[in-house]
Amino acid sequence: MIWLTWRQQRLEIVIAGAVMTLVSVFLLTTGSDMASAYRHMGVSVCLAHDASPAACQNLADAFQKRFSSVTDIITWLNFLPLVLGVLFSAPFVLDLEQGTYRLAWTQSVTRQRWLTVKLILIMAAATFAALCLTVLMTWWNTPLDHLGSRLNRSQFDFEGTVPVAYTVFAAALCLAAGSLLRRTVPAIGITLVGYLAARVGMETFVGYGYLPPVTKHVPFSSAAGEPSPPARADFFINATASIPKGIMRTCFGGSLNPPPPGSTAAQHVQACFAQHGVFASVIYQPANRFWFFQGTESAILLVPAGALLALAVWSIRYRVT
Amino acid sequence: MTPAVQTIALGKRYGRTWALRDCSLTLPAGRVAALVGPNGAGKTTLLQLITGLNDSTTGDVRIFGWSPREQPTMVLPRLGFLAQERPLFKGFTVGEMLTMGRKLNPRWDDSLARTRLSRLDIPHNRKVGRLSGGQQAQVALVMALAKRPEMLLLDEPVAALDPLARREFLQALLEATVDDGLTVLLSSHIIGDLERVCDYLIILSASRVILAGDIEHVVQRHKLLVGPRQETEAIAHLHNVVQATYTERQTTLMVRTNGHIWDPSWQVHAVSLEEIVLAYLGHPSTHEPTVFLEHSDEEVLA
Repeated sequence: MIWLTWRQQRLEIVIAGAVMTLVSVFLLTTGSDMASAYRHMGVSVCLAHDASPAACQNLADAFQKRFSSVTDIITWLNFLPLVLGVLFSAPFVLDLEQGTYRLAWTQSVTRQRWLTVKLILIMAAATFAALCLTVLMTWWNTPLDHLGSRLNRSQFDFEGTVPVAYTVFAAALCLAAGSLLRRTVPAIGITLVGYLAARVGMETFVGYGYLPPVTKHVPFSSAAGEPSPPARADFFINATASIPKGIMRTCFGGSLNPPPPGSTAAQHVQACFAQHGVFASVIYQPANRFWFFQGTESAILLVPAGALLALAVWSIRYRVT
Repeated sequence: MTPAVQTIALGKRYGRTWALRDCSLTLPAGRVAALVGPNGAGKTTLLQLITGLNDSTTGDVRIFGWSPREQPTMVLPRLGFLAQERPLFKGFTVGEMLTMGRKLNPRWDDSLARTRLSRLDIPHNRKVGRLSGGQQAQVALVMALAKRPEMLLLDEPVAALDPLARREFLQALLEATVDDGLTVLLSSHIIGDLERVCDYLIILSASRVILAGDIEHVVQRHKLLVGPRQETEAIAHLHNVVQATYTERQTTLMVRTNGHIWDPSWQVHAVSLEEIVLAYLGHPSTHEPTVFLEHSDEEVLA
């Protein structure tokens, strides 16, 4: 059965291998560029010197600007779990569509065994490919993880367990749709829609709603620029300050409009606010919630993936003839 | 001896339509049986129920005493199956098809497969999808035979083949059945071909079995009676009238006899298997029970 599965999936495995190789080459070259630039531009030294969140901002901005075109391309890798999931499960659906499964089912191997071996191998291959992507991307992200929060979607989605969960979800969706419809193209279409819905839905509507964000009050003067969370690795959501009109008028020199930024008057404003005890509220997600969020999001994907696989198994066992 | 196939009140329903209904059938081991019937009569459904590809709605099916759905490990190695659409992995080479057979079947006979393929001049490195229809059918047959099955099931194996390929296929099938004592169940609606290969007949019509029995005996028992235009009640009292046609002066009856025809007003003619099958299919008696014509009947008659 293992030989048959390998032989039937050979072409798709080769394609997946080629895709992964291309992605690896791109990641390895740009990743090592980025790592060396990170050292040579002095970002790492600066950060080692000053751990405060606002430190080295100019250097960090320069670094991020230099690699913005690369990070834009990385965005496309959001589709990679979908591609991997579909590539590994499509041959299974094609087998059902073409009716060739009947040949396998009338050899001496039971349907149960055929199904077990195929599903395990498909899922193992998809998981392995997703793990490779995760390892590569985690290494690639190292400078960005130092500069900012790993909870940024551009990093969070490629690290930890979430990439594997997305891949498994896509594969399970394709297998379930394929087992029910026994048509490859519609099954892939459904997988595409389901995957995008999950991905966009998770990012847009759920955000990091698994735990309420933390609010911290900081003296308005403490930061040079915008008030920021206590650590660089924390995920900043927003900051607000409510300032009584009287204090504002006093500190702005009789007006309700702030003096132009950068002027000496503006520096006075900070000191004035501090004198009057004005606080800003910083809302953020602490960095140490990374694994909790990873686990929660993975579970949100893996539980339906399990149900979809169960649906595929049920359909193959009782509906397909 | 355990029969190769035994079904008891077997039925399969899809939604509200019955594909096979109340099918009780015994196919003794070692017979080469023809399963005939028009399209949609339930032939494919019956074969799928036998292989365990499909599950029955009612009744029971036993293959050499085992249930195909509940004991697949006992049934599958004993069956060689050629499905109607002849599913083969088109991207595999012939050699890879054999590898698959070897990996999936404990009783696989590789030398048998190789001998047969080389006799047919089918190269091992050719992709299955690039073989002719006749060659693909031959490969499918070789795959089924190399399993060393006890029963071979063929669903319309020659329907898509040209006359020459059809003859070659049936020749190969005939050779395979001669030496092994293999049981064969072959569905087809090309009756002429079957007579040469088969010794047992099952007629399926409108999702029911209407006649089953030894072909030689079936042909012996059926007669065509031609006589002057007259009432048929007297003859129907003693024999079973399968089909009656009337002209102004003449009555023609297809009769399943239950003994000698004594009435001198009838001219008695022998009939061919094809005529018998067509007579049954033309007038499916949906409410009558299945007729079994075994050798034992002959003894009773004698």
